[in-house]
Amino acid sequence: MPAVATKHVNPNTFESVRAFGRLLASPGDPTWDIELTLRTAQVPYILHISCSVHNTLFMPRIAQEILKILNLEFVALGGPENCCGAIHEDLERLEDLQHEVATKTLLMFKRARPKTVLSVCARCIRRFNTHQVKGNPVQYAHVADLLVEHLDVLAARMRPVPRRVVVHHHIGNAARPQDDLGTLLTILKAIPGLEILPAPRAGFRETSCPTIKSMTSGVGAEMFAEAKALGADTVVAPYQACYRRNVKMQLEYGIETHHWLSLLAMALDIPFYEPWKELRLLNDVDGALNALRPKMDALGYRAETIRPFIERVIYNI
Amino acid sequence: MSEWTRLGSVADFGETITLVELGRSKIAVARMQDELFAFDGLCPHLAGPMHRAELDGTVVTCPLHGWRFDVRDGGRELHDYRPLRVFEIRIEGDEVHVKL
Repeated sequence: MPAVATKHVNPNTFESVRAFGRLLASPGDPTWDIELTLRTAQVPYILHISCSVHNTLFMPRIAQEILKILNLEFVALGGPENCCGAIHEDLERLEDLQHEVATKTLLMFKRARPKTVLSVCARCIRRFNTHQVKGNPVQYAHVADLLVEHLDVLAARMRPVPRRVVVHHHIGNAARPQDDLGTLLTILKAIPGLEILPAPRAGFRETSCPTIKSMTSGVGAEMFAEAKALGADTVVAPYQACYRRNVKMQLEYGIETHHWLSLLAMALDIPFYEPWKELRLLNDVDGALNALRPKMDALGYRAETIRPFIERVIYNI
Repeated sequence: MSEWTRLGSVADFGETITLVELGRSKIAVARMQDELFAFDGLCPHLAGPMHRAELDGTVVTCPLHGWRFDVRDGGRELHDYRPLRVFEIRIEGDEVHVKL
């Protein structure tokens, strides 16, 4: 009987997602189901809490509050159990499972027979559109697309956000041909008081900013140097990966990185917290670990488990 | 009705997971901490391939979504999700039998 090789999965990848989803949660952040039953009632929208946004729960939190403002019924579904397969795509030994993972998640979405599954993760959007269930696709869209449809309702409720912003964006995303920058600008231009500065160096060619590899030298620095020269106080991130990668630039340039949803939250008086940013701006792994200690103790996490997660996921060491 | 079924010889199973198909059943077998364990070859979550699980002590981790089961503790899932079925094993001489 032939033996089958093991060592095919890095359990720490899934464990860091689950750990940060708990450790970085703030009061009022969304909770979610990890699976739906076959008898799940139909809902028009699913808000997908993807693996990546476990690190930045304020994003789906703000999206959730906006959906409530718009009186749109939804269910939040997420966790590693509803992964798009990106983790598997990145691990050579699991690469052959990525399609199975993506399609099983799409079939899970279908149990709620949604009109649209909403996401803030660019990579999930790319992967689900690539691995669609043939002949029976699930509509999977960026939250921004939905908000543009209802912008008039939201605009009537907005208060001014007096900031000078550079809008970071990605050009030429072949897997997502929609005009993400155009959608983002439509939303930002509706926020009173926001001054959008023309910034040629704010556009990058990759699909989105990588979060696993270290930032390549030069590229992000040029954007922030230009932003500083323009007198900007904010760089707007289009995707959660861009937010995570760029928050640390505040240490050098004094310019804050905000996800576009945060600016919308400011305009709509939706409270949110950014523990990821706080931990990264400590610029000290030990400091980040100590900051998390009370919650780690309460949830039963050990330092030797969480430290490598902080090093790899937050500090890219 | 459960019955004892021959899985193979003791020498067939080592510290890597071996998948045995008995009719419709897929049984994953591995030696962990000097003890032979037989467990469901499909994850109770969404039928992930448990013969490709990561082994860590007596914990096996599904490669699809990272559900983690302690096979020494009756297949208990460490996040309190659904447990993995662990089969009773009997070794007679050189032969390994499983109770389905």
